[in-house]
Amino acid sequence: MDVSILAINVVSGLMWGCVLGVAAIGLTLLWGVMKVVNLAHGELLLLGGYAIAWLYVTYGLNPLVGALAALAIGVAAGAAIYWALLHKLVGKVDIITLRIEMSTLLMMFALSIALYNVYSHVTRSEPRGIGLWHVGPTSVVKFGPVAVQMNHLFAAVLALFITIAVHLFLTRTMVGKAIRAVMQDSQAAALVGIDPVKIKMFTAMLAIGVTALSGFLVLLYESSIIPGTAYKYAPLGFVIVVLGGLGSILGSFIGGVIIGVVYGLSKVIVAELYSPMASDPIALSTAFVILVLVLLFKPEGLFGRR
Amino acid sequence: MSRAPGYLKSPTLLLIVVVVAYILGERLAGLMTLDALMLFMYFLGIAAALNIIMGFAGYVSFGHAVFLGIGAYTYILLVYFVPTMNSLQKMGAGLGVFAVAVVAGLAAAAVAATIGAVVLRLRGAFFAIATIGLDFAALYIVKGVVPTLNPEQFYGAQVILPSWAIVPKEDVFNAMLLTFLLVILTNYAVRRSGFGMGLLAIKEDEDAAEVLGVPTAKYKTIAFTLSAFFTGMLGAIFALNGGGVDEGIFHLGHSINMIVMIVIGGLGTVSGPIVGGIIYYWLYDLLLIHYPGLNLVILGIIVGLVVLFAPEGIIGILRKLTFQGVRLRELLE
Repeated sequence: MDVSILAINVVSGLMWGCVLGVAAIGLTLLWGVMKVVNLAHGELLLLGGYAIAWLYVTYGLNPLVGALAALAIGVAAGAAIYWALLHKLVGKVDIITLRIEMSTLLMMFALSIALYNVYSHVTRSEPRGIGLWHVGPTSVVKFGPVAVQMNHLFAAVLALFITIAVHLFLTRTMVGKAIRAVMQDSQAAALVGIDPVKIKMFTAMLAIGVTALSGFLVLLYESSIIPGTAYKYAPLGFVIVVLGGLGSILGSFIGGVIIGVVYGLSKVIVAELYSPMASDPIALSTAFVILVLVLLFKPEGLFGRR
Repeated sequence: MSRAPGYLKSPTLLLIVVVVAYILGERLAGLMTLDALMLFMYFLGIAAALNIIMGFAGYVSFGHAVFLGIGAYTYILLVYFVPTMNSLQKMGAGLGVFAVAVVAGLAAAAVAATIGAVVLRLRGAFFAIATIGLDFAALYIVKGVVPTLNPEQFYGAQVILPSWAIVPKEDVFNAMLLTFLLVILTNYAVRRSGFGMGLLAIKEDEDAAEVLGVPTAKYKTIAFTLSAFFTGMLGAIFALNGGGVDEGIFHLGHSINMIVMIVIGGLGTVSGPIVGGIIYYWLYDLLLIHYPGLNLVILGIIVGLVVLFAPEGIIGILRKLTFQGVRLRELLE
């Protein structure tokens, strides 16, 4: 086996993993704080991506500025989703039962069907992107034998930056600390004067804001998005959240990197041992095998608490 | 208070009889196309199949499309590659199709009994996520493996049945009707049995059920396997009617259909998936005609409203109503 092919696949898997990791942060926060499994995650990711692409194509807005707009839209959407869909189900309860969990699951599922089909209807399922914006897919950086696409590298660096920013927000600010307190024990947090309802709303805003922002990375990485992109990133997000541990930002990022690298590696192995034609799908299936294995043998994940 | 008439004591059976009579009537009258009638039975059938694990035991399987897919691919690949299976499916005016579909259902059931038994250790959202994982794992494996089976003939993971493997529509209809009856009556039998009681106990409180002597692990596995078996059979016949199968069969949208029907109708009853299925089919048809493209958006909103304001579904609402002083609940169960 050619070593450079292996290296290229591992490096590109690593960079994709960074994007995947950031894309899962919103999921892990919502799940960790209020036990809401956001089945509309992929669609909310695309909300950011579509906003950036639309602003760029229609108004020529720089996608970097567009990313901030996506963040703002995500934060607003988070507040709206919390009050319209989730508050009645999880707002006032301290201990979230299985029944409530199932209701929120179905609720977010309903949102996902609705959003997905709005996208399909509006875009007629045609790809939307930011074209060959200056870090377009044509420019390539070389590290020895490993050639790296500029937009992939940019997305990975930005992913690292966003992860650190969210981590700092959660550890250094009062709101962030309160979010972590509610995540650990919502009743005890209420005892020391933290309003759980407010914190749950802030969590939804932060989580969906980061989700929409990471739509920018997906846009950079995929160069164009279709509604079906949601079905690629949301399930991988679940895998990463479970692997990294509920509510753990670091776990989410590292889980993403692991999934990305395993994907890159298994792609090479399947191409070598079985068939190049089958390599991409089967490499993707490894992520879901990991999911089931982690759920069974280490259900708290790498960085989660039981 | 006068006693309710005999047939009202089991409105569920009455409902089943009415639905079957409606299907047979439509078939004889020939007003609806065979395809439309088959789609109707398929919708009600998959809802009833999922109901065994989701409605009774309370385990929401979001990745149930995986069993549709396994059934469909097993059936199509069997008749494509195995000549005896192809000749078998053409025998007995639909009985042959039914027999091959049983084999396909067994394949789905085998996956459910092995992997499913392990996944069923998880509860709530984790179980839902794990089944989604199962669905995607199967999807990507099929996408990888199927094209390599016959690279000249298959377009990606799509397998189109050649003319020598096509079965007359009337035969397919008979097989679908048979499967439909089987799954509905199994639902009814499960609900009436001690096994069904055990499943309902698991839904209410699994730990308490275990303490009280319900063999929870065994019951859950049996329910999941039964559910997968019927889902696989329906997927197989659905694919045969479509003349082939592609990876779209694993789409979560199929799981959406099943779950939405049960949620609209009401969890944990036999009539729930039937009522929900009828309404869903009707809505689906209506919205598709009047709002093409937006029909699923509207369906999403309806599901959201049902979750927020009528968590027990339509059957739940009906049960709370009273009828001539008698609570309908007493009549329904």
